[in-house]
Amino acid sequence: MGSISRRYFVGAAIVAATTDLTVLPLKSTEIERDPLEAFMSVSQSLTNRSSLDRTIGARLLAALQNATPDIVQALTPLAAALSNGTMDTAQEPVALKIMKAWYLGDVDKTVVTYEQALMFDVVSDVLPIRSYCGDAPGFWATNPNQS
Amino acid sequence: MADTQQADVVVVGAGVAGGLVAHQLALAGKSVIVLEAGPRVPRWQTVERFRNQIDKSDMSECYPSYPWAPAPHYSKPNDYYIQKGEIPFASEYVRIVGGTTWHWTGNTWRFLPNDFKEKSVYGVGRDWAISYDDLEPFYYMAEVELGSAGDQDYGSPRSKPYPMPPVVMPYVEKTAMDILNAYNPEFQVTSQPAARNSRPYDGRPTCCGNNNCSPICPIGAMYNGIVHIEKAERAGARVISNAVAYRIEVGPNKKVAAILYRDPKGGEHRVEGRYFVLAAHSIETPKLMLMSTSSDFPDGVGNSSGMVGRNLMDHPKTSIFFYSAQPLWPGRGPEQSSSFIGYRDGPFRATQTAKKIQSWSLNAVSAETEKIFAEGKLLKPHELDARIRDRASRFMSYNAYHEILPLPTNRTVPSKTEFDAIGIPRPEIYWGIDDYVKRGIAHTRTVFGEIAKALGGTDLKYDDSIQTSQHIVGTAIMGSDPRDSVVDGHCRSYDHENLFVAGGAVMPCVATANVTLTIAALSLRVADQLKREV
Amino acid sequence: MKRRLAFIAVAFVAVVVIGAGIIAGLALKKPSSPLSGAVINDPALVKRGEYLAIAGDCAGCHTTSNGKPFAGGLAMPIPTLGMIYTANITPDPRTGIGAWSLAEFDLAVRYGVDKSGENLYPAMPYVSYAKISDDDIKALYAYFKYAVLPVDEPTRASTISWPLNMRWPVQLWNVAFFDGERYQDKHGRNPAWNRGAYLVQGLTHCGTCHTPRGVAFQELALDETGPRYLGGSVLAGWQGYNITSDANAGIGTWTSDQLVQYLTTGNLHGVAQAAGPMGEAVQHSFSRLTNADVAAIAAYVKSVPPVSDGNAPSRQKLGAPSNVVASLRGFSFNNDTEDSARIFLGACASCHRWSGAGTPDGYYPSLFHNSTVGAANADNLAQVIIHGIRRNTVGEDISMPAFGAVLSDKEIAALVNFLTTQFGNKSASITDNEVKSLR
Repeated sequence: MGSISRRYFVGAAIVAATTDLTVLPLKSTEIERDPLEAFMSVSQSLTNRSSLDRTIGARLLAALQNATPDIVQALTPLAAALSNGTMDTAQEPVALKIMKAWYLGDVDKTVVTYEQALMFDVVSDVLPIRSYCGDAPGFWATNPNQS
Repeated sequence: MADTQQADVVVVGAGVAGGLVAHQLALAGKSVIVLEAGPRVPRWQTVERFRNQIDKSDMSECYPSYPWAPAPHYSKPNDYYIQKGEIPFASEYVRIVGGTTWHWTGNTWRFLPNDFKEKSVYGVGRDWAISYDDLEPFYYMAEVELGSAGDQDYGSPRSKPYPMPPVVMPYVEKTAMDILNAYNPEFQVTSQPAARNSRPYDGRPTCCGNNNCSPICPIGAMYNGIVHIEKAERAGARVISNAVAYRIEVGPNKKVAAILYRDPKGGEHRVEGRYFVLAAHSIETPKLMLMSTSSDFPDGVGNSSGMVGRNLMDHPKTSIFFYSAQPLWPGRGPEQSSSFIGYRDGPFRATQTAKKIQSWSLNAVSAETEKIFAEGKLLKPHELDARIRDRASRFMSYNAYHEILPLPTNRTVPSKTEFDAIGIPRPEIYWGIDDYVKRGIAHTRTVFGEIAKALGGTDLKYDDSIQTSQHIVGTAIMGSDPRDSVVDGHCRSYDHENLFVAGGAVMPCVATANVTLTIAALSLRVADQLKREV
Repeated sequence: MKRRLAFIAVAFVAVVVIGAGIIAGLALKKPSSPLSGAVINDPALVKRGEYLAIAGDCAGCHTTSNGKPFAGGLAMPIPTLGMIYTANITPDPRTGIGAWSLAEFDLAVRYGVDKSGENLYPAMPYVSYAKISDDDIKALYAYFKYAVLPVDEPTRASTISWPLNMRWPVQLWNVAFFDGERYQDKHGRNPAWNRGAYLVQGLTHCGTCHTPRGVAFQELALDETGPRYLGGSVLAGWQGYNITSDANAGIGTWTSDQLVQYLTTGNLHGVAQAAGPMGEAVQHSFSRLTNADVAAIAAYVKSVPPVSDGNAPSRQKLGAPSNVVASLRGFSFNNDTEDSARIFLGACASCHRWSGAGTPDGYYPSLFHNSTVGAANADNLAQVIIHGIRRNTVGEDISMPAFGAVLSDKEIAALVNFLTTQFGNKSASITDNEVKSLR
């Protein structure tokens, strides 16, 4: 396990400086074709990650549909809004739900993923996920703030 | 009766206490049967159950409670305990082969010499029937058996060095320790002795710092009672799982003749022996004794003193949470690696409780991410990520184990009206804390404030809800006087010469430290005595 | 396996019957040592002998895990016959070799004949040790005579009963398969290569585990000029892999540096980790040799002609990360589950990660691109799961827990097959019974 990556902060700063809303290209044709496709596109855009696990995505979408049956209908307008940078406050709850699902790995207190929850990815250079070995024994004694 | 089995020694409870006794006696060539209420569950299953649970701060959800061997859960309360006291008693234990040390945090403290004579020295509580010096050789033996790692005597004099040095301290705890000791040397923050391998030991690997000691060490670098259960079996002992003891049968001359147990279907079985050891933790052991009434023993087995089930003790616990000024990154390495030992002993104990304070270095990412989302704001990923990193790197948690004295009114009693799935009474709990504890808790609160100040803490949150700590002791209390004690200095029942109690139930005080090593030492002393007699 | 054993048993009986006649006819001469006289207690000689004993890994067989150094007692199965126990080779005059002369010591080590004139089974690798030079034998003798502490413990008797415990048939085996030649430097090869060849063919006796054997359990080749030398073998339930220069079947893609690292540490990140008998060899022998000697060994081994094993893909290049966790996480299971993927996650992933990639620094190894998981024969993988690994070299004390007591034969077989399918050679598999026989 190494120290905090300087590149991480630099990269994040560049993104923050150059975009108002973090956006990855969306193809409007994909959205009509397949809810999962739409969900993955929206998710990638919201989380600013270009590759999210599809198996996890399918499970999260199914869990979200259970709780919010009309969420699929919300995906298309949300995708459009993200493309144009025109998301309004009414759409934010759905966006938040989707972000939360990916970051926490659960939907309504049902675990969908643990190891692949994005929140752990965020700190993966410093913290092992609980119940998994980090690196060679003793890694935890070093100062993680040093590059 | 479905069947009768026999052994030289019958042990009720397959945890660390029962395992150590069974192992020693099997090595000495005695036939041993160990009865365990719950099933045998391999480590890998518990690990996966932990990863499947929604709330990773719940330390018992990965140990499901079985209908025939229910155990108390509090995060998702299962109403096993019947709470009858002033405040709820929420301590948990594990009823499967291997016992509660499946989910402990591995800390192997010895008690202090004065803990054994609080009545004589401070005028409070009770004196043990033995001294620290009597137990010292068994403390060492327990440290070798469990694989305890430490680097100083922590106030408990030692005849021999630790089997191995401690696992190296995580950056967070070392940094905090240095700051805190400089801020106030009275804190006396030290490393923490633990049965956690700093090198391969006893066929078990080195700690890899997966931050999961509790509820389950995924790799066995930390000691769990299953180690001695398996050693006992290799030495010839028989462990019968899914065997719920429900009656102690006393024969002629007040000697225990048999234990009766039920299987999950309610079928009844009988185990006869020459000697019997109750090692079923501190709620089930007194419950079994109190259930075993008869015309000769209307108050239950071994209860001429009336103290069985009474003097229930644990560590009333309070906590503080805050964000440190510097990013210290808890969650790297073992969960607990340091303690404040400066308040464990002293003249103040005449009027207010002593305590041990410790930090808890638990990965804070999921809790902090939950909090951020709970604010309800949609954030851009880079901002969300930065907040998660910032909060997770600075979240600090300290808690204190306070001593509560043995109060006969704190007790457990088998219910006369509420039963589990196979007809065995559920335990009623009467629990409250007194001013002796409350005064100590008030002092702790100021200490917590100082800790936060020393570490530049912000957003301080005190948890004064007085939790308990899973260190349940006292319910088959040891003493020199049979009129107010259940067992003598060898943990032998005053009423039945072939009945012993191995476990926390015998402890006359809970003092300020985790109790497992003391339990292990006492159990080895029981085994030592039994080897002479059986 | 059973048919092979039966065949060997029949062959053995035939050999015994015919051999009795041949020996009587040939009036076979007992070998004699070219060495004679005493050896003085010269510290430099003794120290060199200590080093050579490490190179020869005498302790590997003559010291047990809880026994005194060189007091013997390790059980060694002799195929079809039974169990022998290694000898006490401490200088105890009564129970060890304290009364042995230099010539008698030499006869045992390089000729396979003990002080009483009885043949040793070639489990004692005299077939390899024959290559050792006279000077090195003297140094070894000095070490065992003057530096090793005498231990009064009689060598344990074998379980082989009469008539199978007769030793003279070994003389016939020797006639057929033992050339007893000293190592001779090869012209046209540099000193490092020759040093490596001397060590590998002799003291470090790699061929004992790594060269395939014939019907009479003889190694098919004793040096790189023979057929299939170091081409892979099985001994005591462990596969000694093909370590020839074949790029697929052997270690042809390894650089010299990689081979040196493997020999001195037992861990070549992302490629191979030493366990079982090789782990012990690393711990007790290779990690304690000089850099020059390990480099020489590597140079020689890398020059050994390639031995192919058909189309089997390179065992260190197989497998891919697993994503079973994405399908299993959050789903509960019963205590009696038989899902090998679940066992993998619960028992293996804690160190090897849910993807099987191991930790970033390679300390806990990756399961894919892993030459043990990728082998065509799954026995070594099953062995480390059953028995764990303990490998202690300077600066590193590696421990993998044993799962033999926690998992049944069925669970281990299912787990091994899951691992080879996901991370290794898909056609490598193991049955419950095979697991049982490896315990």
